[in-house]
This record gives sequence, structure tokens and C-alpha cells, in this order.
Amino acid sequence: MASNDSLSNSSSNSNIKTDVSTTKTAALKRPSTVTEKVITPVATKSRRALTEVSVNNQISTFPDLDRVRRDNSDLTFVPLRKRQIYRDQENIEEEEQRPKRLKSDDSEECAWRDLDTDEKSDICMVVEYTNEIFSHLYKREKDTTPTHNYLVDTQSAYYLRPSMRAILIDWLVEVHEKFQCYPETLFLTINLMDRFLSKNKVTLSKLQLLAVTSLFIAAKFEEVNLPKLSDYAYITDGAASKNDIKNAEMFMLTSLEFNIGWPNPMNFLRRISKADRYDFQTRSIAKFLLEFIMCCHKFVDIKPSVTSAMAMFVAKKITEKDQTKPIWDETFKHYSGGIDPLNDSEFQSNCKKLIKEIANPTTKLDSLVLKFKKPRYGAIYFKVSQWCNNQVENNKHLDSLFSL
Amino acid sequence: MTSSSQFKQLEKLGNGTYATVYKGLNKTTGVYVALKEVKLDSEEGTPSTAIREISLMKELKHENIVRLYDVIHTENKLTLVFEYMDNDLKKYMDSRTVGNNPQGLELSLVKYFHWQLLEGVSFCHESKILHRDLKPQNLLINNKGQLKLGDFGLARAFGIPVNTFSSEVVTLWYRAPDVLMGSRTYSTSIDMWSCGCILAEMITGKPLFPGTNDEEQLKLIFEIMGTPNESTWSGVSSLPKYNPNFSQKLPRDLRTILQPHTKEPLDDNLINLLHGLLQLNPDMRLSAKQALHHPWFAEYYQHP
Repeated sequence: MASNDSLSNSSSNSNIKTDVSTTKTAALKRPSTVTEKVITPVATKSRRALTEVSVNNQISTFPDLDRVRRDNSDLTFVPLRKRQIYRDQENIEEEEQRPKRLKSDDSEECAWRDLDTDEKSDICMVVEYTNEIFSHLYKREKDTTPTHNYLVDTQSAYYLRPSMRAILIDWLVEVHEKFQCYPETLFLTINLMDRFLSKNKVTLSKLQLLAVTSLFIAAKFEEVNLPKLSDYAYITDGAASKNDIKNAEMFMLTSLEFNIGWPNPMNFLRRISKADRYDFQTRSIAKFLLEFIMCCHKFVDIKPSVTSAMAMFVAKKITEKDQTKPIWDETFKHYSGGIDPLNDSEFQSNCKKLIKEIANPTTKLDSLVLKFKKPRYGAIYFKVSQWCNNQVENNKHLDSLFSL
Repeated sequence: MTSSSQFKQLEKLGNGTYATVYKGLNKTTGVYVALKEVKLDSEEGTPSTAIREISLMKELKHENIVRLYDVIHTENKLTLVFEYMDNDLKKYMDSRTVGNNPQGLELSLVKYFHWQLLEGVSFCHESKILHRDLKPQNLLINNKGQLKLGDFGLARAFGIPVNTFSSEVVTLWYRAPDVLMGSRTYSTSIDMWSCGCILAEMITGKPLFPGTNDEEQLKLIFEIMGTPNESTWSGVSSLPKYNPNFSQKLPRDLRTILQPHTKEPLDDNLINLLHGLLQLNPDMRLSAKQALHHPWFAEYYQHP
């Protein structure tokens, strides 16, 4: 397996647990009880989470061991008993910008079709609040997407080789499927892991602990029925104990300052899909592309609203039979939050990267590919990879994709 | 047992969903705070309720939502430092009981409180967050008459469309009929039913539907709001716990029920708002945004 090779040439430490891709494949049944409301009983063990986890090797000492205030920029790790995790910055000025309640007839002249009104009767679409919710999400995604790509910038202090991340991701995709969690949970897991890794140096031996802990936290945020902690420890096949995961959990929560909520790209994808009248085939392809983007190391610093638009745009290209028809009209532009593929060179270059990466992958994402070869995912992988291969072979620079 | 060197721990204020709350004094600033202590020694690590409450409250900065100032991690507990509020709506209403008779609040105060409740709920919903445990105990008030939503231990973020969630949410008396009948695709309307119950309770001083179990809760609701059927609520019969043998009741006039418990006359607008919030069918229930535009609040509208 690739995992052993890629780990051994970067580390002289021979006794570390390297092969994270050997997942215990025993059937892990999801507990059927509703655990959302469970208040866990008091146990007797004491926790010393922050002092025991050596995920971060930036150790520095502070004169005031009793209490340390943390800035966003420098992540300090000190053996302390008390730690302040979050301090309200009283950023009132931002609040002021929120418009006061208005009668909502702020319609300007527009060329896009209002599709929200069609869904007024469906409470699950929360039509009434859609505009507020999406402006909240557009604002929030800026704060919760890694600001730089620690997998591409080899000069970064937090540089990690893409193949390493691919091993973790591949394992997570497999575990996530076994646990039968929501797609949102996998995406949140990857986001939490990337946010952490883009600001912390993690030793190779702790990477799997980080991956499983990310899933542990994401599931607590998203899922109704939670897998047990012992299930998480079990699937690491001895690499991480229950206590390791508990300690790492608090360390990660602290490092992320409890900012777990993240605008999941599934929200944006559904919104753009509305402009496509929820075409089933296009949506299925877009879902695969979105998952591929999340798993691929090249796109970790791209905001979810943009990755969703990329997935939708390429999916539309794949399904559109009449290539002379414009596939992204004003309605698509509106429901994608203003993305205009024909006039956005950065967006174009990212779409090209995506197509090339699917045709000629630079990292191994076997579980992901395997998953989308399955009939229950419409075996969509075959169609998409064939299309991408054709594009790369016949259309070297892929420029025609963006011409009319 | 000090929570942190900066805060002096004072008397216990109560038990939250998953934690104990104390009054605290910030020794440097002299400002009172509420300290919510979450034990961390559980079998499953940090409680999901704490993870959700902290991360969601950090997104929610609004004058009608209790502010989270600080989170402090000590060896085996998390301490959440909240804005201090003098009282909660439940205790406040209890304090006004005369003898054994609960008293409703003055209607002007009911209106002011309910407006603030709706402002807070509307802000949550705009930020794609459901509170899922609205009740008088979780509405905190201060001596200035401000009301703020607290205790987000059961809150969660929702996507669009909304995924299915647990139906084991909201304290029984304030739980919506669709949720009681096992619906798991609820959305913002789940909080609006609670708002309706709270409005009625502020008027009379008594909970509107004080059931002791799911069955009795539905019975109490149907006795006043009428038993739903396919013609009044399309889709009701396909809910998991719908029972075709529910005893059939006709809707009653809310004014007739509530008026004897309050001294002030209840006007048509108020009764109309109550009916809007207490719609059995979640699709028909008013949203917080709509309720804020209801004529009962006409005096609060800002006219330019």
C-alpha cells in the first residue's frame, strides 16, 4: 500500500503506527437510540486533556501559568491548568451592519427567476429566511475556510505532503460510510481537520488520531444518532485509545476556539441545484464532484460556496448534450451567490484543475472512487472519469469549456 | 471550588440541561456574570450539547440572546461565562403568584416581552439555528425589562432543506403537536409553537398545556385547538404517532378560555396572533418574522 512508502521516507521513526489505511472492517452497527438529549453520567476519571496531548510541538512557556489568553495568530501550547478558550471581542461594529428589520420589498430590476417563491409551501426549505441565512453563510465561510493551502505551499511551517492527507481522507471516507453518517458530517470532518492542520504542525504518529477526532467532533455537531467513543477507538485498530481521542478532542476544540459551525457546501449545492430544477443526473454528478473536491488537496483553501459552484458547473458541462447552449444563465449566477464562470479566470483555472485531477489523479483516493463506482451512488464515477479523460485528451488547455 | 482566578463563584442559580449555573463576579471589572459549569468526565468526552451550545452561541450576537463572553477550560470541566441576568421568566411569574393563584402579567409587559422573544427567535432562524427548548425558564430577564434567550443546550444548526432530527426535543408542555406525533422533519415552526404557549402563559400565569406524558399532552392540545384531520391538516394521518382514534374535539375560542384568568380585556389582535402561533399544522404556523409584523405589535413599528 502506498501508505507505508509515503510515511517511511519522511520519518526516521520506525515504530510509529503507519498503516492507517487498514481499517477494521468488522461491521459496526450504528446505535439506534436517540442520543441527542442524553446527559452523560458522571464518571470518576479526571481529565488532563491539554497537558497530555502532544499534537502540537510548538511548546512555549508563559510566565503566568495559571491563565493564558490566546490570540488567533499564535497557537501556544503550555502545560497549564486553566485556559481561556474564547473571549468575546465585543465586535459590535459588525452587528451594526446588519440591516434593521425592513419590509422585504427590496427587489431591484433583475434578470433571474425567483424560484424561492415556488417552494413557499415546503417548510423544509425555510424559504422565508433563505436570503438572511445565505448572507449569514457567505459571511461565515470567510472565517471558517483555511486561508492558505498548507499542502501546496512547501515553504509553509505547516506543510504536509498531499499523499499523507490523502491517506487520512481515504480512511475517513471509508469509516464515514461504515458509520452511516450524513454527507455533511464527512465534509465537516475534513474542514475541521484542514483548519487544524493549516495552523498546527502534527507529528506523523498523531495524524490518525487527528482524523478520528475530527470525525468524533463533526458527528457530535451534525448527527442525531452518535456512534460510541469505543467505536471510534476500535476502528483505529489500536492506533488511538478512547482516552487519546477524548484528550485530543478538547485540544482540537480549544485550538478551533469552538468554532465548529461551518457553512457546509451541501447547502450551497442544493441552492444552485434549484436553478437547475434539481435535475437528478446533474445533481448526482455534482455531489460526486463536490466530494472529490473536498477530498483533493488542491482545493482546501477555496470557500464552500465556490467549490459547490465548481461542482455544479462541471456537472452541467458533463450532462449538457447541446454544447452550444449557455449553461450558466443569470438564474444560476444568482443562486450561486454571483459566480460568473465565463468571466472569472480563477474559477476557470480551478475547474480545469479539477478535471485534470480526476483524469490523472496526483494522490490516491481509492475509497472515494470505490464508493462512487457503487450502484447506490449511481456508479457515477465511470461516466465522470471518462468525460474528464476525453476532455484532457482532446482539449489540452480545456479552454473551450468556458467559451460560448 | 473557584472556577477561575478571575471570577468569584457566588450562589447557585440553577441546573441547566446538562450543567450547573452559578452567579459569579468578575473580580477585575466588578461585573456580575453567570458561570455555567459543564463536567468533562463523561464516558463520551465533551458533551455534544456543550459543543453545540458554545459554537452556536458564538455565532449569535443579538440584544435578545444572552451573550457568551468566555469559555474557560480547567482540569475536568468547562466553564461558560455568560452575561448575567437578574431573573428568568418562570421565576418572575412565580414571584407574582398571589396565594395559590398565579397571576398573568400586565398586557403591556406581555407585549414587550413577547416582542423581544420574537426578535431573538427570528435572529436565530436567520442564522439557521433552531433553539428547540423555548420555555419560560430559558427566557432570562433583567431589571430593565429586557428579555433574552438562554440555554442553547438543545439547539442545533439546520441545513436547507432541513435534515431529519430527533423528535426528543423541547420540554413537553411547549412541544409542538407535529413533533409529539413523531415528525422529524420539523423546522423553524417548532420554536414558534413554543412561542405561542409562552404568550398564553404570560397572559394567564399558567401553562396552557400542562401535560404529564406525550398522550396527555396531545389530548390537552386537541381539547383546546381541536383534533386535526386530513381536511384541516393535510398529511397529519401519515405522521408516525397519529392515531385515527384520537377523541374528536372541535376547536374552542381562545378568548373564552383565557379571559377569565386575566383582568385586562383581550383584544382581537392578540387572540388572532395566538391562533397564528398555535396552528396545529406547522405549515400554517406564523414564523417569527411574520409574527413581528402582526398588527398586535403595531405600536412598535418604526414609522420613518
